[in-house]
Amino acid sequence: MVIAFFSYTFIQNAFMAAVLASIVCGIIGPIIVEKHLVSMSGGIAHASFGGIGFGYLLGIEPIIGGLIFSIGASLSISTIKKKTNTNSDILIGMFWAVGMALGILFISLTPGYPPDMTSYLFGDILTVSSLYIKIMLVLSTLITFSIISIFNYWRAYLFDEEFLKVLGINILRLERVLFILISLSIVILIKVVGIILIIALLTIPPAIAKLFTDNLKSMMIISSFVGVLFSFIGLFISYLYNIPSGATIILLSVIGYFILSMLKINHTKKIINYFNRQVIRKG
Amino acid sequence: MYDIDIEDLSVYYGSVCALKNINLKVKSQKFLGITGPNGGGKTTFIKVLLGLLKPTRGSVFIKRDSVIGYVPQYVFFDRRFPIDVLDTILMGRLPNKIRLFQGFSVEDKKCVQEVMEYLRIRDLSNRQIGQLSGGQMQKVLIARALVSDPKILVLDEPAASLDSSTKKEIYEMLHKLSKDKTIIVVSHDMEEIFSYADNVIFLNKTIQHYKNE
Repeated sequence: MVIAFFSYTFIQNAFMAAVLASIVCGIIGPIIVEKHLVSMSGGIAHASFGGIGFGYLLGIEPIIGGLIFSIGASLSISTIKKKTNTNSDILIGMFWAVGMALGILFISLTPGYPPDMTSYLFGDILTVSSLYIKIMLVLSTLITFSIISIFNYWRAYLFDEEFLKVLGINILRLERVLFILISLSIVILIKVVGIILIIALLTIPPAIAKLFTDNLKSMMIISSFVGVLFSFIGLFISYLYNIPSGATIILLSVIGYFILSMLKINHTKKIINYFNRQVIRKG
Repeated sequence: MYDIDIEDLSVYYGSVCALKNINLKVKSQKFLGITGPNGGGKTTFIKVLLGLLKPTRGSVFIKRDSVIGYVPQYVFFDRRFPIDVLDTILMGRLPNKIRLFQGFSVEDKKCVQEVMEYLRIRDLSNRQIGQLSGGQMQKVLIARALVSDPKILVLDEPAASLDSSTKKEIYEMLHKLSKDKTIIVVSHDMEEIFSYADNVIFLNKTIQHYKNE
C-alpha cells in the first residue's frame, strides 16, 4: 500500500512541498517568534488574499498577485509606522482586513463563474503542481541563503537592533530584507496550509524546538525537522481518512506541542524533586 | 583634550521639549555621571550622543576615530532569547560593513576571551542569557561594548535594581576603566555617582547643576 501511495505524482509533489515548506518555516518561524512579528505575519498573509483576487481579475497566476500584495503590505506597514508613528498593531489590523476585503471585491468583479477560494484560504497540498514545486524550490533556496549567509547579523538584529545601529550597521536595510523574506515564505505556505492557517505552521515548530534548545541555530534546525515530521504524518492521515491536509497537519502539531511540553514539565519536576531529596538527605 | 563637545543642543519631540540649550565639554579619560529626574532628558541625551537621534538644534562633536561603546539598560532585554553569553559578546565584534559568510576571526575570539577574563565572567561563556543574574547580565553587556575597543563608553542605568555589593563592584570596575576610557553613566544612583564620578551633571531639560572634582 505504501509503495502505491508514493507512486502518484501528486503525492510525490505533496511530500516535496511539505519538505520545502517545513524548511522555510523552520528558518523564518523562529525569526518571527523571537522578533515578535507573529501578528505582522498574519497581516501580511491576509493582505496577500487581495493579491490573489487581483490575479484572478487580471487573469494572471494568482500567487504572483499574492506575492506582490504581501511584499507591498509588509513594506508599507513598516514605512507608515516610521513616518506617522502609528501603533503597528493598528496598521496590521487595517492591512489584514483591507486585504481580505479587496480579495472578495476583485473576485466578485472577475467575469464568469467565481473560482473556489477555499484552497487559498485553507490550503490543499494535494493539488500542488510540478511548476509550483519549482517556484517553491527557488524561493526557499533564496530564503535559506539569505539567512545563513549573514546569520550573525540576523541574530544580533533580532536580539538588539539598537546596538547594531550604534555599531553603524544599516538596520533599515536588514528590516526591509527580512520583511521581503517573510512575504516570500508566506506565499510559499499558502498552497500548503492556506492563508488562515499559516500562523500555526510558523509558530508551532519553533515553540516545540524551544522546548529542547537555547540556541537560535539549533532552534531553526529542530523546527525544520519537526515540521517535516508532522507534515508527513499529517499528509498520510489526511490521505487515509480523506480529511483536509492543512488542518490535519496543524492539529497534529498542536497536539504534539502539548504532549511534549507536558512531558518536559514533568521531567523538570522530577529533576527538581530529585535535587530537593538530595538536599533534604544531606541536611 | 576634549572627547565630546556639545554646543547649544536642543531636542524636541514634536512640540514637547526634551533637552534645551545644552552646552557640555567632556575631557578624555574622565568619568562623567549624569543624573536627574525621570523625564529630564537623560535617555534622550544618550541617544543623541550615540547618533540614534538627530538633534533639533545645536551640534554634537565627537573626537575623530573615537569608537563609542554602548551598554543599554539590561532590564529591557528579553532574557528568553535563544543566545548564550559568548555569542552575545561576539556581537560587539561585528564589522559595520556586512559581507556574506563572514565569521569571527581568531583575533575576535581572543579579544572576547581577554575581556571575559578581565570581567571575571569566563566560566559563564556557554550559559544562555536567561540563566544569568542581573549583575552577570550587566557584565556581559559591558563586555559586549568593550570588545569593540571603545574610547568612550556610555552606560544607561548600569546598576539599577542590583544589590548594593554588586552595585559597588560595577562602579569600581567603571572607575578602573576610566583610566584609559571616557566613561559616561546615566543613573539614579546618587551615592555611587557622587563617590566615583569625576564630574556630575544634573539634567532636567537643561543642565541645572555641574559638579567638578
